Amino acid sequence: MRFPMPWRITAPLSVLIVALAGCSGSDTEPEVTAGSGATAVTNCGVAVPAGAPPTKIFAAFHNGIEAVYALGAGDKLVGAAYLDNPLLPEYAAQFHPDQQEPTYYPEEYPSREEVLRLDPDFVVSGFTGAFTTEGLGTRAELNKIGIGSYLFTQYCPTADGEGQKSLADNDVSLDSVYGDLTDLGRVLGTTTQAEALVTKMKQTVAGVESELAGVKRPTVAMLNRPGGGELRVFGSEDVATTIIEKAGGIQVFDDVPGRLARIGTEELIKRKPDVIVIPACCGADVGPDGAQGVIDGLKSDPALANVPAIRDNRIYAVTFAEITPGVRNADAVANLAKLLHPEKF
Amino acid sequence: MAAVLGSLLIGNETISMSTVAGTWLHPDGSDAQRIVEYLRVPRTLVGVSAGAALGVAGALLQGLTRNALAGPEVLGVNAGAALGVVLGISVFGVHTFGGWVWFSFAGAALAGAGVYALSSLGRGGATPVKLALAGAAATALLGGLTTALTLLDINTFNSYRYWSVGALTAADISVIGTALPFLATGALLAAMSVRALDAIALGDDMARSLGQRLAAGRATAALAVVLLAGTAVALAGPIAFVGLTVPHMARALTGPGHRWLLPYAAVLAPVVLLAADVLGRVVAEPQELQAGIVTAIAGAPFFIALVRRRRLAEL
Repeated sequence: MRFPMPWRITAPLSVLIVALAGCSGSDTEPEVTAGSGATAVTNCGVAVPAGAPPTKIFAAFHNGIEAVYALGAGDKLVGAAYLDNPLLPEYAAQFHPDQQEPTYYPEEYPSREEVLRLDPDFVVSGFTGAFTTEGLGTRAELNKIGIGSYLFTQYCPTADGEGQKSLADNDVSLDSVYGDLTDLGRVLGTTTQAEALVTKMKQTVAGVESELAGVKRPTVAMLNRPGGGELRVFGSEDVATTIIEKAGGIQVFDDVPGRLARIGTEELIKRKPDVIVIPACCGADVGPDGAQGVIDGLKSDPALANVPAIRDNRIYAVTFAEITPGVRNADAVANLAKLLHPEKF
Repeated sequence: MAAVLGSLLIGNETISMSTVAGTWLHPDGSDAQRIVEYLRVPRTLVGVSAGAALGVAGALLQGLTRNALAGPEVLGVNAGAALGVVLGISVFGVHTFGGWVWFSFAGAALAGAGVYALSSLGRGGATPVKLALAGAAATALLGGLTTALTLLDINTFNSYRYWSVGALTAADISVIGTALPFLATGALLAAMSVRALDAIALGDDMARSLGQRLAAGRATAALAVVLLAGTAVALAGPIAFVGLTVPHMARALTGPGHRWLLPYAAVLAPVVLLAADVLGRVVAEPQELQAGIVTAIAGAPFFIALVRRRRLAEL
């Protein structure tokens, strides 16, 4: 049983381009003052107090869980839901839901009651679905019962409690990811770790970029074919596009709006990508080899035999976790750069 | 003919007639020829066969029930077939077209019979609007069950969810070969039921006086509906409104006699379906709308017009 897919993978045919106040990259946003006088960060238009760190955190989705660990607040995790891929080794060593906390919901989305029973005072989510009425409740509802929340700004909905169909015209730059990690660090009371993490990420990306100066950039399609059926490509409003470009590629579906869009097979043939990348998903035990079925299917499709990526066998697997906004994005850039420019690394 | 050509030539890229012909005459392995051979020909064949099947099934159902609002999608036959396919996949682990087409038949038959029985209850028997209402209720119920089943296992059913909207790209060329015998049998049974359908059209008195023979004719027509709609759904998903609207278009050309109505429906329906598919390729470029979405959007106003025209509603 697996319910997150419709929220996350299923893209609206075209994401509505609706401007949303307070939902831009929060990197440069001024501090706002919460009622008590303590400072707060603004996240998707919601003021999240910074200064009194939460003590019991529930984290939903891979990027939410890893962000909590990366910021050094892993010991405060009381519950976690969903991993798209195995946790990074350094966090996996701390993750022991079988022995103690956090209570882990690997597949079924936990009901609101189950999560409230864990008595968290903070919820971090990597995707919009957690903060809908069907999920754990809207952020305003959680706030009313004393539970703070944080959502990666790339998934800011147009209104509190809205699902992913109402994603705002989001900033999918790495700066928005850095801003999130910085803000979340302030909220969790781990500003130092956040600074160190962001600095390291920036260094990684800068290193890749300096290596790639003047290089010939291949065209790249990042896509999936769930169940062997329709093709879904990552569009211009997903951090995947940023990662492709930082890694020295040209996003071949840059004009396709939204996070994920359904395209016909003919369109893939027409775009002639030099490289195809398949993000493997979803499960705590699904590594990059989880994409093998899709890769084999594309390779054996006679209609696609002339697509440069398939003809030249340049079709690679990555993990879904690394191309969703979060702590892995810098390493994702480095990883993809190696695949795109093996001669440089 | 024009629709078939359109389906072959028009898409994300317009491919010339000579390229289409050259695919077989001078194969060169080019992108355009691959698109024709592996993508456009299969989807055109699926459009022709599923469309014809739905058109004839709709005409048969309208004749059988003397109801202008009848159609495999309206009477829950398509929804039943779809649920059958999903049950076959999820519960019985059937993963080939040749396997799940039987589940499709069973679902179509049970749903159709159920809806007819339900609408016959109460005063006045199976009136057009009662039949449509019962069909709508059944479609909603069966569709809900289908959705529930697919939600239980998203990964397995991702391809199904695509199919469930109704697309001509879900099947490949070998599948069409498997479907042909079922479609041929369905067409034969449809042809055999022409006289019975014409008799039913003459009214209840005439129908009663023919008695036994008519019952056999009805059964033949019903079986044809199950075979045709069941195969069409297994091929292309539960495509909406083709089976409902096409018989009306055909009737405008041929008059009420089934001898000409059925073949005209068989020719017109693929035209409608292929046109919808081509439209879906063009309007949303570079993305693609499934044909089922296009027919649903285009067919809904037609359906409303039918309900409002009482004279037409009682065939």
